Amino acid sequence: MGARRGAPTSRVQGCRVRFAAYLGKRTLASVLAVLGALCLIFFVAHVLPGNPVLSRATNTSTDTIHQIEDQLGLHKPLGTQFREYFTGLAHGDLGDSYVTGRSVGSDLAARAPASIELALYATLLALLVSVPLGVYAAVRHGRAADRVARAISSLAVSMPSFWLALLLIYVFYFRLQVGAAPLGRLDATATPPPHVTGLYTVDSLLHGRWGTFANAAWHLVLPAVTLAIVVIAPLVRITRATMLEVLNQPFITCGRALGLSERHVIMRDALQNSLVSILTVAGLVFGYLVSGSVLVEQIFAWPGIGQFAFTALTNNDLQGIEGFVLVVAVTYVGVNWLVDLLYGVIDPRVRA
Amino acid sequence: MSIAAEIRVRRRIVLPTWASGLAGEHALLVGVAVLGVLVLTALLGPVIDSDSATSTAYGTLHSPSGAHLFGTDDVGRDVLVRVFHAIRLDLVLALVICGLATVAGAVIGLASGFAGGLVDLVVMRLVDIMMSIPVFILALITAVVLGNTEQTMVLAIAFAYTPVAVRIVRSQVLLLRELPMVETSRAIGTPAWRILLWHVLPNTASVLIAQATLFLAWAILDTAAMSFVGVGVHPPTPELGAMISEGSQYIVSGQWWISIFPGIFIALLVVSFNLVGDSLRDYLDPRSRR
Repeated sequence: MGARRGAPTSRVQGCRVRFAAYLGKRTLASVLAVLGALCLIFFVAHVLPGNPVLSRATNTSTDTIHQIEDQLGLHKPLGTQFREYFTGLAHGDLGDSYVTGRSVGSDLAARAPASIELALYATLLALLVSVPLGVYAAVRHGRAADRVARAISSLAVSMPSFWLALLLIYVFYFRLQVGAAPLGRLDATATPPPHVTGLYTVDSLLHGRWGTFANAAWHLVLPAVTLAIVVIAPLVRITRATMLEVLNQPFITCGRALGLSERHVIMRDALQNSLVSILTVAGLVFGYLVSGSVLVEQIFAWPGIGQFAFTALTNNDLQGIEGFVLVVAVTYVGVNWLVDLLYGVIDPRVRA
Repeated sequence: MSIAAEIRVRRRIVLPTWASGLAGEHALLVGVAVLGVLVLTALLGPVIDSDSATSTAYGTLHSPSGAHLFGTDDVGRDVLVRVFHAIRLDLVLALVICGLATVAGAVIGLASGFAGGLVDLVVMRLVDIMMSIPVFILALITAVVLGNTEQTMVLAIAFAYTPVAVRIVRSQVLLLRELPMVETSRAIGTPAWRILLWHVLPNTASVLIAQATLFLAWAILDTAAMSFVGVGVHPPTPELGAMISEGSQYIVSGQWWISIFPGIFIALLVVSFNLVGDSLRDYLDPRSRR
């Protein structure tokens, strides 16, 4: 009896241990990648032969340059700078921004909701378009519709995002006069809703402020559409690919043989089995958009992380740049970590 | 680098590609044809139309007309002529970036994959670290720090692409070095550099060429994006991204042609390089085919 019950229990325990080991390994690798990214940027910013002060401020006197270098702590030995930076980091201090004079950490925290809100709606919008497109392409595999879907996604991925943003502003704001002015998250006259989540559309609904909600949503449309178009291609690709794979499985044939409607087979059986891969890529896309939309945020004057990075870069704000890279690396590596984790939960084979 | 490519590379997902069979050949043909036309216009355009790209003699902000097909910009330069010059510059920059990244990636990938052990471990960790920052952002920061000139921009973009090439070459080398021919060569005492040069490198070439074509597409996009934010190529040099930036302030007052035309040509260049690259990869690397 004991032996009979012992075997399955120990197998379950073995699985748990293996999963813990897998989790530990992935987490360690992720933390190392983020630390490595910070070292890399520190190296790029402090060790490479360019002078960050000189590269922008071309016609300042030597005195001014020395003054700025003093202010930035660039005159100290490299080892000291490195130690100070990472000591600060360990205490949650990302340093002070040279441009705004405030702490980089609080600046980024204040701006994060704007980026998250934009990335969220862009990802949702892209999913709304690309999942039906990908499913349709897979169902009509090799025919005209498939090629059209392919053409749409190749074209979407080849357009520069900043150009697309300008094109949309021209057509919808200037020509048709239906779009919001590309000047941030709300009209200048509107007041933001009380802070709960920081997402204006959610906060305004929580407080029942319909006018603010409409205004925030209106301002979201153009930037979200721009970013959505940029990320349509990977989503269409993965939807089509997994759908094709699933549609070739025996259980689909079985469903059809049992006389289930084609609609049921495709929408319920095939699509539900493809959702894991699609949502995985959607997660990666979201992570990419939170930090990767520097140009689009700048064009729409969107007060997010990307715009902060743009300002930091154009003003040689080293602390700001390093803080931004920290956020980027953490989001990026974090999303990948989460995806690996979910895969580990779903598919035990990857834990090995 | 486009986000699609970025995710594909990062997640190491071998996605079934669209192009297969006849469709692949069509895509390749279309890509090559569009590229051919664009390269020809870039080379011959400035010769046939002898107007200078910096001449300001055409009146400011004229909308597209028979005299100026793409209109004129805010200081009275012909947008069409500038687009011709810009395509040429962008193609040259993209070729240099692609060459640098491909060669660096091939050398490092070959060495790392063949040496194995500690060297390989260190190189691959570095590659992982570089790939935990989006390519465009890494290139942007590097270019700004290096001094914000055309040369530093090229170096920075090539630097950011290198890990992608390293990973591709290394994975090929790992497969190839286990092959009987390599084992045999080693057994008869062929020096390592000779094995690398004669047996390993030629067999990585096909995959590398396909990736290099995709690098060209990414480089066109990233060069334009960098110049758009004022890093790299600076006005008044005609460059597609810089031209979009110059015209961006006129978008909200209705002078669309200064920005929109250069963007159309960026998209054309990128689409055709992507088509060629994807088709080449399908053709040269049977494992990625479905």
